[in-house]
Amino acid sequence: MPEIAIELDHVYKKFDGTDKASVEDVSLKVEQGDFVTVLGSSGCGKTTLLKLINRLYETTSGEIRYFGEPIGNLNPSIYRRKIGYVIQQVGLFPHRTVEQNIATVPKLLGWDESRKRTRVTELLSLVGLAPEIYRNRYPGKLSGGEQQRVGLARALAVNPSLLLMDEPFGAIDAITRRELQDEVLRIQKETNATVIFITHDVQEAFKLGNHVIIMNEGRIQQYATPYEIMINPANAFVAALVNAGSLFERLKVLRVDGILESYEGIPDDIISLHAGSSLADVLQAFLVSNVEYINIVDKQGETIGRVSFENLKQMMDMPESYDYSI
Amino acid sequence: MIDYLTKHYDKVLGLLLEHLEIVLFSVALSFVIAMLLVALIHRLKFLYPIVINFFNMCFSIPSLVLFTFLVPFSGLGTKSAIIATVIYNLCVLTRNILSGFDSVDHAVIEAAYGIGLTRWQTFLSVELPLALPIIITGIKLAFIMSVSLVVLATAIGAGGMGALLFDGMRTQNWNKVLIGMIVVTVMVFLFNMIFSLIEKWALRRATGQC
Repeated sequence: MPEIAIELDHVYKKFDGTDKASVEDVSLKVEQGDFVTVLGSSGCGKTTLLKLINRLYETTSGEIRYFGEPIGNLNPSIYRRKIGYVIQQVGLFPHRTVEQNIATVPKLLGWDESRKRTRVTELLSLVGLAPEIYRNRYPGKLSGGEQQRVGLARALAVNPSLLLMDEPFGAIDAITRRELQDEVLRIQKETNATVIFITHDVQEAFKLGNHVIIMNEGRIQQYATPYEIMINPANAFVAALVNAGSLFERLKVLRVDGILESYEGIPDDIISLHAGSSLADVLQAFLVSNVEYINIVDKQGETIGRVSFENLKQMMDMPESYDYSI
Repeated sequence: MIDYLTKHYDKVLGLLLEHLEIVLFSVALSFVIAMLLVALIHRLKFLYPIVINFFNMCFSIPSLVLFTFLVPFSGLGTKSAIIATVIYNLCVLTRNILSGFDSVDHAVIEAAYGIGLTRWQTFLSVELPLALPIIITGIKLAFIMSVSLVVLATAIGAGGMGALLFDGMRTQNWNKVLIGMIVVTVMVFLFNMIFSLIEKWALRRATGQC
């Protein structure tokens, strides 16, 4: 059993001067190494939830535990240095170079110059920026996507065990956003950090999260795997938000690695897809080719299983009497 | 004029130093008070409009009226001059320091706290350098304003270059008037130049251009 990185125990947050709680009776556990996305419309309390976790806000009641330790017992600044924090507006320090921005926390921790320098080089390569080109630039000279990459590098500086991301790609164009989503997935796998990622974009939530938390009006509506949410939405709100009844939505958001048939031996089919592909990709592959199985490979190109058209149909789990009328 | 200057340069220099002393003292004093006020407003937000409106009102009082108004309380002389100058400086400084800190992008401050900077670290290494350009502009205006206010303060018996100017006008000694004029003007130019340079440096630093 992996450790529990973050646990919320009946957490409430009510701001002064409001009559409704922003976060209401939220209890949840996030396992170490998990990638959890929090999905909800604006004002649903998802940002408040995140700020409660890194103590930018204090809970009104209830308790939050970080690896079993109630965070109220920890010094807020020292605690936050163990947690990466990335926000939509990035918030890079405009008067500091990229290198100085990334090395902010290492500097607070008293690392020596050469260690800081090596770490900055590592991090810039990790987030896909050429270290020698970018390290001495100022944030004002970077594009939005580049700024968010630097923001991510700054958050990862001291190898945080927990990474909190608040709609980090909300202000970034669609192409760059997809690129950054893939980078975050890769980085999460490499570092095995626990990630809590907030978004209002259903596709993003389902693409990134191993688990998805759906929030509305300060409460958790459902906390489950993308598959579970699509197939068994907990209530009408969830069903409407993720458009669970729509076959096309399911195809778009569900990933093929959920329906793998384990397969030993050398695959005899020529068509291979990545494990992160959506079921829509799989369907397309079946439609354009005439194969029985599609080979599923990981990032390194190693076969990890295969999928048949029957698997796909089962996965879609459409009701017997599907209403085909418009 | 040169004649007068060679004969009485010690007197002119004495008045100039006196003038500078009053200006430096009042700007320094008002800066400290303004910073304390801003810190107070930061804690007690409701004071913001009260303080700003009060200073706006003070700022609209003509300087000679304020000088004479202070005489019954703090008497004739330098003390009243300093009090009046500090009041005017506070209007400019409080406003500029406040808008300097207001101008700092909130996301930057949130990110600073979020990655683990303490309140003081955030203030010293993030907020202050970013607010500095606007604060320096306030200090520049305070200096320029103080130089001319102290000239007028001669009316209530404070020392400084004003004494030479008004003395010259009364006795129709144009040498005195001319020297007074030139010294005051050069003083203002120099303050303006020095602080414009600092301002430019602070702005380049805050926007990451140096």
